[in-house]
Amino acid sequence: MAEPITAFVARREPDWRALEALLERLERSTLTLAEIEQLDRLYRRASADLARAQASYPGTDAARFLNQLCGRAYGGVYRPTVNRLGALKRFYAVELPGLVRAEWRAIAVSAALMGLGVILGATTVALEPTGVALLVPDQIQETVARGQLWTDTIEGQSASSELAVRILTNNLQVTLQVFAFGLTFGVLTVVGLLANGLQIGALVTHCFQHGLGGGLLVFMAAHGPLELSIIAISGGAGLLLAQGLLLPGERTRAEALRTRGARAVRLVLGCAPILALTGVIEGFVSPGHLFPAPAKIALGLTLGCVFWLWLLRSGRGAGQLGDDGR
Amino acid sequence: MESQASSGITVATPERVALDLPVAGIGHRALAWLADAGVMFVALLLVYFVYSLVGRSVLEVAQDLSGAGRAVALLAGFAILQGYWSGFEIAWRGQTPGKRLLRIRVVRRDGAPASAFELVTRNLLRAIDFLPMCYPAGVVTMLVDRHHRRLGDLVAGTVLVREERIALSRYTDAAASTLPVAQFETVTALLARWDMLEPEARLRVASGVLTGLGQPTPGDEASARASLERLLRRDG
Repeated sequence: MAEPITAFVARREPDWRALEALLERLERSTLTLAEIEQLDRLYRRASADLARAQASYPGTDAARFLNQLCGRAYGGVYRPTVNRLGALKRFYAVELPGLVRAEWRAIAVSAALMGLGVILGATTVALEPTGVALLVPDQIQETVARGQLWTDTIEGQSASSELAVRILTNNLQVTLQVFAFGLTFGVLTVVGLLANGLQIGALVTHCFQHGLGGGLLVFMAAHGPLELSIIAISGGAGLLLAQGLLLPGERTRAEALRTRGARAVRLVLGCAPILALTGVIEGFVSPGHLFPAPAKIALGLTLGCVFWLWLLRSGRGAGQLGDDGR
Repeated sequence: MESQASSGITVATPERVALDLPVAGIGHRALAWLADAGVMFVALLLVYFVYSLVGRSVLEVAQDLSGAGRAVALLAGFAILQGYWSGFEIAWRGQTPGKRLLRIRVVRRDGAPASAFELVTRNLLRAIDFLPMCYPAGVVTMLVDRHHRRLGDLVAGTVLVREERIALSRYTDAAASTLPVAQFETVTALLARWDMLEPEARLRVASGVLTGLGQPTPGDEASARASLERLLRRDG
């Protein structure tokens, strides 16, 4: 026969309150070694009490209280490890390059889709005069017709400045969208990649038709290689999400989405700081004539080469990643 | 236990006990979001007014920004929003001010604390749940999902749980009672609801309970309550 519930609560409550107080302190600050040892002891006792309450007093407030307390303590006791700097170094030296190599198919498909868009855009504008009206924004058409590149007037009047901002932020948006839209079963990722390529192809061809192509390519040279690479990786991550939804394999869809999602997010988050770097280059180095054309081209090529060398070589042979990327 | 477990998740801890985590529903989540949105709105408003008082009007400054400056401002805005959600959730172990107010917390699906990566993930995907505006995508997913998770939670493998505060006063107030647990729960539950019941219902229910415990049937309401309270004071 179990002891009366009131006696059980009266006997054990001081320990539970002590555990509560410790957890409150843990959530606000750090504990001393003696307190940690006490936390461990009290948590295990509370677990034993919970097991007992589940057996002898099921469905009572006491059982619910203990369930709640142990849940809170479980979260406090089993905290994730926090070697942040070491984890960060390992992430960039081993994990991220390994992920890119492991998921190269998705990234290649993503890059191919963008390339296909470029070819389509270029041929449309080259072969079909009305294609320009469809694919190139009116403002850009006007600027180009005046024999100017919109990128040169980035510090100038408000109209073209707004345009420059739009182009600048557009790339950031595209990067995030092609990833996140993977959740639309990949439909909008594919559309986004194609559309981005289409626009690049159309713009470059249009500028070449007006003798401004060289200028545009120089503008794109400094940030382009890195930025397009990151859009391709981000698109690949979006395709991974879609793959989890469409082709879960032997897992449930939710499970497949979670494991692939973890990998996809690592890819995109890892690239985010580099994307910020390209944004800075695009904002300050690429426009205007502050830097000579050869310097821009050299910078872009160097960054692109270093980026891909790092992704393809770094951390090779450092052991296989787990399936969920941990 | 059955009713509690309907939308909860059960976790087996290394100590070999089964924890039952109550999952937060759409109501809790929406209210917490409203609270957070309110906090952000007030904070931005304060910054706006303080800056306008000290310096020039914010709108003028924004108009004078060069292209690169505006892009930086846009990025900063995105970073601030992300920083609010992810920053608070990482620092407060799965809670934002709104979530703290509503007593809900983000945890991993196995009940363990969510890592920084998982928290950032669910907040990055907030943008998708928000589409096209004000979270219809997220709400649909929450309605379909058994644990009321939005897309970001599904990808990150996280879930929001309620942290109820449960009082033990019903036991400590009647510490001398040695009633068996089932009877004790019935008697305390009845006394806790006493004032909410109609007078006839009080007498009817109390008579049923007392008879079931082998006590004499009470004549009126006051004596019924007295017998119930007597049961809690001494050995039943």
